[in-house]
Amino acid sequence: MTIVFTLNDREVTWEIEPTETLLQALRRNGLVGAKEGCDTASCGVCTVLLDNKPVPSCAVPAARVDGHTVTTVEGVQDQARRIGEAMAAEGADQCGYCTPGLVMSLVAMEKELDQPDDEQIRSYLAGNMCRCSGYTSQMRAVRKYLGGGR
Amino acid sequence: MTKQLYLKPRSAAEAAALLAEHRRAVIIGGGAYVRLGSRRIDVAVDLYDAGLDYVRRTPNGLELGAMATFRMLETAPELQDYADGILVRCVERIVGVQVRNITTVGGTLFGRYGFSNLITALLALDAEVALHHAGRMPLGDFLATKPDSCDLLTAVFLPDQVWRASWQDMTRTVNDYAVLNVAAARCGDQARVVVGARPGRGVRCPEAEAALLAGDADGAAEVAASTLEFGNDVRAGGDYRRELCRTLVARATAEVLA
Repeated sequence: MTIVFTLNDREVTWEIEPTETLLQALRRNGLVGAKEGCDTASCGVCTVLLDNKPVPSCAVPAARVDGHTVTTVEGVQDQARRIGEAMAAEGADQCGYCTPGLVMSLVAMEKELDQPDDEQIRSYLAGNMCRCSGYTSQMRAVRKYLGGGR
Repeated sequence: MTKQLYLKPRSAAEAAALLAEHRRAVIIGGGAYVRLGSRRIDVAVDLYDAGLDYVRRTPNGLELGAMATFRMLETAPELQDYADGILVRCVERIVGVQVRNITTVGGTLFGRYGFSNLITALLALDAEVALHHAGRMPLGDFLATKPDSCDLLTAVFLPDQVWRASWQDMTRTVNDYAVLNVAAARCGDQARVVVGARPGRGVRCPEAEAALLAGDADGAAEVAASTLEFGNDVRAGGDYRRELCRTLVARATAEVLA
């Protein structure tokens, strides 16, 4: 089936299988920033924005996004670079597999919450698992990024 | 999951017509559990564009569209103070923001999940559901009937009542499913005590409600623990759940009485 949607500010027309997930369709079309982790909507590494809201792309049917707006990490390169720099500076980036998902949640959080405190940040990012960092260095990086980005 | 036809109706009426036309069609609400299942789906009817994603005030109370997400409940201004905010409390720690952005009210109720926090909270607030064919009925009646896969849940209604209410749950980790969940509410001479994730679905406990009306939190806790049924699953044993029930019902009813 054919879907037409806005992907990273550009209208695209894709041929997809009705059975495909958004994550599968994205990766098949070369957008491999969103990773596959648990494949059960539990880990957050496949996070993308659907109509500006963070969603687990492994659980969103690709057909659903027809007529809608999808933003992936490829579409937020400037923020991704600045978040990456903050992560590196704080020693939070180890294997890096979860970072694109975290970037997307952080981009959404910035739009949704005004000057969040630590508890609000932890709550918002609770759906993004990281097996390496233990989250403390991530929290330092998030604070550094939010502080520097304003 | 294999789907041959993927349809996106623009309204509840259009969705109902598609269900009538395709007798084996499956409704896609949030989609997460459908995705995890293995059944073959020939026709999928996705409600994402059906205009059912709303939380709104009505002359008689509040209305939640079937496609309102948990995140919408969590952030809706209308729900922050309604029934002391228990509809916010009951969803705000479920998994993460991503999952709460796709989990829907209708999908949760139609799935009749035993672990559901939302079912427990809504039962305590006398919620009613609207079905396209079967019409409007109390949530408890809907849950007691066999699911009709040809019908469509379109909305949930909450009465315009000033409930004093409390939400209590116990989870093994902060974002996990509840080991046990409890909602208590009181409005004038009406009291509600609902216990869910037993691991069976939320049910009212009339004896505990009578104790709550009498102002007896400890009595409500004791009678709920001794009369409700509890079972074992991967999260906890029935005996442990019974002890939890005693504690959580005591807390919930004490909070309502405070």
